[in-house]
This record gives sequence, C-alpha cells and structure tokens, in this order.
Amino acid sequence: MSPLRESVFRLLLWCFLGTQCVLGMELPTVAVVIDRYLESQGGANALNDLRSLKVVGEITIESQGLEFEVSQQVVAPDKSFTEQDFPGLGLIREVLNGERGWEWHPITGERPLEAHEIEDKTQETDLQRDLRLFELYETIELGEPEVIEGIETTQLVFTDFKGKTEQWFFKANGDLLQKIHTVSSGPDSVFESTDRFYDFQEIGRFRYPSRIKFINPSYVAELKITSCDINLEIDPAVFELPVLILE
Amino acid sequence: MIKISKNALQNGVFLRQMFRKFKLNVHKLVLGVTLVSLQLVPLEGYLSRGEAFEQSFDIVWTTVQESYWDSSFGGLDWMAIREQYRPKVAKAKNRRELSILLQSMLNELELSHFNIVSSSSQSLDKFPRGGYSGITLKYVDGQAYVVRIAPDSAAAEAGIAVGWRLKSIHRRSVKRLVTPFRRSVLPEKRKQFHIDMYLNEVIQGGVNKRLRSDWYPPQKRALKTYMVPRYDARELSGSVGLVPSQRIEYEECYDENDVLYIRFNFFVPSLMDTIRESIIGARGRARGIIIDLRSNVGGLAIMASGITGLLVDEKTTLGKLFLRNGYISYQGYPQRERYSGPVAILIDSGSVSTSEMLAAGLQEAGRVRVFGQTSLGESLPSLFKRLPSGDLFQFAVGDYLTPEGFRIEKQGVIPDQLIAPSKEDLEAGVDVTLQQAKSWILNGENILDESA
Repeated sequence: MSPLRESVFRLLLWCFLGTQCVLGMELPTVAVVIDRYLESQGGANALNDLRSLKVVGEITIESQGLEFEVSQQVVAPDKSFTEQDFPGLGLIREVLNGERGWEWHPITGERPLEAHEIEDKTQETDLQRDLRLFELYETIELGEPEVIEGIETTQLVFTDFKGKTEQWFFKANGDLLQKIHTVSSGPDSVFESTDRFYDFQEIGRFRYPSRIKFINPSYVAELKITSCDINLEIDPAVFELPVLILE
Repeated sequence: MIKISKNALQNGVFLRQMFRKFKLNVHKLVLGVTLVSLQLVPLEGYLSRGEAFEQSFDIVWTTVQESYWDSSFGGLDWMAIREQYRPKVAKAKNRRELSILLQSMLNELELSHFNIVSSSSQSLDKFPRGGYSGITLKYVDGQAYVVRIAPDSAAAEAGIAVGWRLKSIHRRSVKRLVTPFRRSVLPEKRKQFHIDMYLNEVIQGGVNKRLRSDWYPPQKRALKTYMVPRYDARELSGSVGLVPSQRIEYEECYDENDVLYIRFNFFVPSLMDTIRESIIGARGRARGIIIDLRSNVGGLAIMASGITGLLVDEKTTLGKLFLRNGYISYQGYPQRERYSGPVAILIDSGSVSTSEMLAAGLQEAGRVRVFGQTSLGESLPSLFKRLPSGDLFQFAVGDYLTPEGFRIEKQGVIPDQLIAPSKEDLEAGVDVTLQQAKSWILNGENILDESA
C-alpha cells in the first residue's frame, strides 16, 4: 500500500471505526489507540526497518546521591550487551548472544544467566515487539481514562497469556505513551514499577521521550538518554561469551 | 544506517522495553546499598524554628506512609501517630528537640533503620577525629575492654594491650562519655550498639593529634598513655551515594594449624577483591576458614551474595527483601574458583544488617556453623533523605526474611553455638568464641571436612 493510500485508509478507519460511545463519552477503540501509538513512533514501516541500536544514558537517583552511566547495544532479534557503571562498584556487564546469557559483576563474579533472565533479555532485543502486540497479549482492553500531571490519557490494559497485566497510558489526542505501570515477576523477584515518559521531541520520523522516570514506592530513578544510534553495525565480538561460561 | 545526532534520544518503543532487567538490577543494588547501621549521635546543633521544622516532620511522616512495606503498619495507626506528634513540632525550640521528637515518632514503629542521623558537625564532643589508633573496644556491663590491637598501630607502639579496661579518653570518663546514649531516646537494645560504635570512633583520635587515654591493665594500677594516631587513606572506603566513606579494617592470617582467619568491619566494595583473594587462596591450603563478623555494621548487601558465591557449590538464596509491592531475593552464584572446606562465622551483638544476612543465609543453607552471641537484629534495607532541618533521615523500605521465613529484625541471628565472653575472658584477652570455632574446625566435628 502506498503511503498516500495508507494515510487515507487510516483516516477513514478513524472516522468510521475509531470511536465508541461509553457512557456518553467518545473513546477510541483499542485498535485505533495502538495504531496511533505505532504511528506516533514513526509507523510500522520504520519499526520494521530497525535492526540494531546503541543507547547511552545517565541514571540519576537524586534522593540517594547516585548517578551513573548505562549503555545498551542490541541486535535484533536476540543479541544484547548491557553495561552499567554503578558508583563504587565498577562495570556490571550482561550479554545475550542469541542463545545463552552471561553476567559479569565486580562483586558477585561471573555466571550464566538463568532461563527466565534470558527470556527477559530476549524481550529487550525484540525491536519489532510493538508490531505484534495482539499476538503477545491475550487481551487488550480499554481502561479508565486518567489525568496524569495535567495530561488527559487513554488507558489500555494488556493481559498476557500468564494472566499478568500491564497498564499503558497514552496521551488522549496525541497517542504518545505517557506512562506504563507493570509488575514484573520471576522466580527471584516480584517488582512493581511505573515508568513515566517526558519531554517528547522529534528527529526525522521519530518522536521520543527525552527523559524517563522509573518510579517505585522506595525511590525514583531518572534516565536521560545522551546518545542513540540506530541500525548501526555493532561489533559481533561484544556478544561473545567468555570461554569459562561456555565450558 | 540512521544516526540520531548528539543529545538525540531513542524512540519510545525501545525505551519502553529496554533496560527491563537493568531496572531490577539497579533496584537490588540501590536497596542493598544501605543495609548498614550508621553512627547515631544525639544532636546538639541549634537552628531557628520555622517552616523547616514543619517540612521536616511532613517529609518524615509522609515517607513512612508511602514506603513502609506493610500497608497496615503492623497494626499501628500511623494517621493517629501524626495527630499525636504534629502539634509538638511548634514547641520544638531547636534542632535537637525536633530530632528527638522525630526519632520518638519513628520509635513508635519499634524497628531499626528508622533514624534521624545528625551530620558530623553536630557531634557530642569536640574530640579530634579522622585518625586511626588501632584499638577495638567492646563495651560490656558498663565497662569498655580492649579486644584487639592492630599490629604496627599507634596503640601497639604505646604498649596498650588486649584485656585492658578503658578509664577515660581525653580525661573524660567512660561513664560520662556514654551518658548521652544512656539518656537518649534510642530503644534500649540499640544503646549498647551505639555506645560501642561511639567509643570505637573516639578512641581512634585525630590525625597526628596527641590522644590521651587512661586504662586499667588487669591486676595493675591505672595507667595513662599517649599516642599519636595516623591517617592512611587506604583505610577509608569510598562513599556510595549518601553512605559516607567509612574506616575499614581487614585482617587475614593463618594460625599454626592452617586455619584461615578473616575479619572485616564493613561490607564495602573496595574490600571484595581482597576477600575473594583470601578465600580462593585458601583452596588446598586452609583446613578451614573463620569469618569474623563481630562488630561488623553491614554495608553493601550484594557483597553477601559475592562472598556466598565463593563458598557454595550451587545457587544459594540468602533471603528475601519484602517491599511494599513485591520482593527481591539475594543469591550467591557458585564461582568457578571456590572454597569447599569448613567455614565458621563469628557474630556478636554488634553484628548488623549484611552481617546478619550472610550469617543467617549460609547457616540455613547448612554451609557454615555460626559461633558467638545473638546478633543485634537490625537487617532492614533502608534509604536516606536529606531533611530541611539539615539532618539525614534514614528509613527502611523492606523487611528481610531468611529463606526459611525467619525474620531477623528484632530477633537477630541465633548462633549454632552460643558463647558469651565473661569479664574474666575479656580481661585475660582470651577470645573464647574464636577458640571454639577453631576447635570445631580442627576436631573434625563438622560434616564439611571431606570437601576441604
């Protein structure tokens, strides 16, 4: 479909199917919210073109006097290298090579990642994940609208096949993602987090938040991305597992 | 290739899903930074009354309201507590009174790691600090005894010996030195712990400043000594966030029976390589290892995981931190180079936080035998906030339970072999706890010998 025809199709879709009447309020359908969300990020074609990325950011946990750098390199669909320089500890590294994962930690030493950790890491490397939301979640439903720091938002509630839910909040008219509330769980943790997205900017086809706050009941961590390269050639050597782990 | 220029940011879709596991790692580290008991000093600084006091009160109360892990507050009516204490803020004449008021309110929770921590400028005294004399004191039944003298230290040069009883520092008697703690609003159980910490801080003296101390050597008349404590940057840890730099001690030695003794006072990252080297070096050499965590005030929780990984053959869980919504486990992952022989851990009433986590976790896993006295029972992960009044507010955000569900807070770690040193032992300079641990290792009463 040509870009023009695609735009016309979307316009018609929104006009005729894009709203539903709930208690007198007009709300968009789930499909339209997600469609707008994808569009707000550059559209399906742009997302499909993504093959790799390299991100560098700074984390500040002001209340605890902590500030450090974090970086992540990803090659879709299943390779990643993450590095964080935690104050006083040094570099913590995690690698996923497409099959196996590995962590090197200055305090706890080196170890292979466990299956559930590899699953988490693999999700991070799935750059086209948002194009398959309807496959990845059993249900996606409209939730209660919410006003977040003065911004009216539309809420979608995602429920996966294990019954876990996530709440995503989109700006009511712009569809930019404002907030996500998740409860991650694994064999060793249950962890609640609210991620709040701020200061959207545009570069080329992309719109992106320049700040993200990771909020939990104990503290707030703020991530500022300082650089990002997309579809960069990433040296495959960074994903190589150490010999000791392979043994 | 699409390249987004400098300062450009990532598309939201990636940011949403990236750093997924990273967030958990950070959480584990941040919460684990402050499994430590800091020195508390009753405040003497004075500030004018005003909004700063009210704001400080509101921050303290609200923080607990929002982050306390048990939303029922263990049956305590936290709203009623506010109503009870809030009107008293206006009556606080100075920062000391405000601090006492806030600490009293926090004491209603009857838990550790809810503290108002003064800045160093409001010390109890004007004694010089920052030096290192090499003395370790233990306060027992109203008396302070020397339990350790560091080799080649100023104290060793001054002839001070293990078993001596402290009379005074800078002509101020022990009784007078500890009076503010005795009268403080600290829960009774914590007083002795903080007295120990305070005396051990003051006895280190100032760098290149003459320190007078008076002593009662066993069966001898009182003796006055002078020493000049030194400064050694290697003895200081780096600060981690708001947790300030700490004086660190590390001791490692083999006895005549090839039992390795390791002692350190603080779980700081800068010690990890040294500890790792000591434990790995014991492979094929040591008949057993004794890890002395007496008077160890805790520190970075993940260090307990690191040490565990050097001692276990399989993934070992040390316990869970229960938070307002969820929990995090701390594990040790077996390292390729690890020690499999018998290990004894020594604890006492000054063993706190991460010390307790390590001792309890390995004890439950059946990997170590624990000797000594029941630990203090303060093992809550905590964070800090700076208050408008100028003080630091330390607040716990979770509860720590061992893998079998035993709550360390208030109860402490109960040793497998309870040993309470007597005054006679202390005066004679006999470390009965250490002796019994060695005996256990050497007599083959342990079930771990075969793997040594």
